[in-house]
Amino acid sequence: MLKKILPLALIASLSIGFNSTFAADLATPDVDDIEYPDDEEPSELEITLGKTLFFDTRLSINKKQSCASCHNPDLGFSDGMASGVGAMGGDLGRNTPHIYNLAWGSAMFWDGRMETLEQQALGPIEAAGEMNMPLNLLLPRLKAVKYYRETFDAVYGADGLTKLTLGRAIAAFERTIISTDSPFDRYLAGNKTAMSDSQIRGLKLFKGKGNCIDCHDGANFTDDSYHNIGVGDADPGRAGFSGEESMTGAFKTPGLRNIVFSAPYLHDGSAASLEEVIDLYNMGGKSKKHLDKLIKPLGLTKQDKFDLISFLGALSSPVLIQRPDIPK
Amino acid sequence: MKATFTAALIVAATLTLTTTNAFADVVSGKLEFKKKAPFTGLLYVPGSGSTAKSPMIDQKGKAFTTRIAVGSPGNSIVFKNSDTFDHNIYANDAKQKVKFDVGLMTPNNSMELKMDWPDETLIRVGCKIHPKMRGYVANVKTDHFYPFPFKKKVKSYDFKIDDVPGDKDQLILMMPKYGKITIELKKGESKTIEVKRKKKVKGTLTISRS
Repeated sequence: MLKKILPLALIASLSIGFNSTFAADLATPDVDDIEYPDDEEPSELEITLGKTLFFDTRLSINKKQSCASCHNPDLGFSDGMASGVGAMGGDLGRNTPHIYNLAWGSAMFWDGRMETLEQQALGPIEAAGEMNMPLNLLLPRLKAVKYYRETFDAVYGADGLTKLTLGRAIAAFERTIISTDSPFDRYLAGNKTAMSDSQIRGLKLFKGKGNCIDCHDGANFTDDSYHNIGVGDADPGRAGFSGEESMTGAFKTPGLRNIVFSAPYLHDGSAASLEEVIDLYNMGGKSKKHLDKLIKPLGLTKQDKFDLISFLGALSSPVLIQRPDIPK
Repeated sequence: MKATFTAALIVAATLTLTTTNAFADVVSGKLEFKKKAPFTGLLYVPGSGSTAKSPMIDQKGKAFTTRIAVGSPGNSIVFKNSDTFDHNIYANDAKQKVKFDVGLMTPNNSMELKMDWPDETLIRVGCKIHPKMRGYVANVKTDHFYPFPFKKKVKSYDFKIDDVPGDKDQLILMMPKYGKITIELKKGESKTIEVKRKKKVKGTLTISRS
């Protein structure tokens, strides 16, 4: 059924250079591009319900953790740890990713094993090492609370509180964690003093010598794709989910908006600072096994690194969240 | 001599056109959405041929260059990678019984795939390497169709299909995540139809045939 009609053109491989790539344009995210379930924007009531659930420790087996315990709004929606900690105290093995601008996301988790926020929201609740809360136990626990019983009925009608609507409510709140008014966005909009000279140089490096844009592209500075950047640990990454050997050690490109708030970095949390991340890229990765072909030594100077980090700071637009009252 | 020959050609061409269009109609109208238009859409006259041109989908800037490609059963679709990145194209639609994966597509490569899956289908294609990428392939037996050029922030779209065979009274509107909308429309008729998704009215289709 499949026919290959053209061989790889040598000229194409020769033409691939820093300035000849077709990465998606950096831009300010457009809320019109958000795809809601059934094309229906959530109501305020649904968002508030999701927010309440997000902060409610009832969602973990021992009532010690909520979603916000690890995706802590005061820590860039991460947890400040190299790798996450489960409700039972166990090490999760991977760094807790931030959740900014996932409203536009098409791949969830470091290995992309879920496609939607609705699916993602339920994963950590059920995972034995994380919140360890089987949904068949969680639903009656929540139904015992008047607020949840009444609000699920009000939002979802006859469906009420189900696994599906639980995921949908949490996702509705997560889609409101949006950052679109950073100095970079104001610079794009025409305010040429919104970024410093160092940040402007950093932007140029980001798109040129630093080669960052090949993966960190588009409005949220991610291609939602998977790359082995040479961290060199034993985690199979995407391959652990997809089974494809070529994806060994490859992880989803994290979005960079508000990235300064969510240290430490990389899937294993092994980089304490953005400088350490850039050092890894600058050396072309520590390990060459299964290394993505986009990763090459960069030859960045100390000043280049400074400017790049300065530019990453220009992607900051804090999302302030007031913690909700948790129903008794 | 030359002038006579040219005149003869014009007469012959006119006769040919007259013959071809003797029983052909024009279907036109407007498709309007209350909020957002879907990703893509296709209005077509089913069973009105099977020679829709071999479609092609290219990849550039980590995006497909077209939102919808229209082909007919037995034809082939060409997938190209004009990007500077590796790509892949796959479809996995259990409901419509379509599954394929062209594997790794390195830059400046092309693949040709026979459209040997069920007709009257609109399937999503994606790239496993870049999950944000999305496109659709319609497999329909028709020479008479209109692919809607849906855009952001535009809710209203005029359309026109020329040369619709006079003996074909049915049209179908296909859009991702919407059920098929079948419209029976005879010459001289006009209709306004609610466009629904999961029983909710999302827009209206106003359609006429002349």
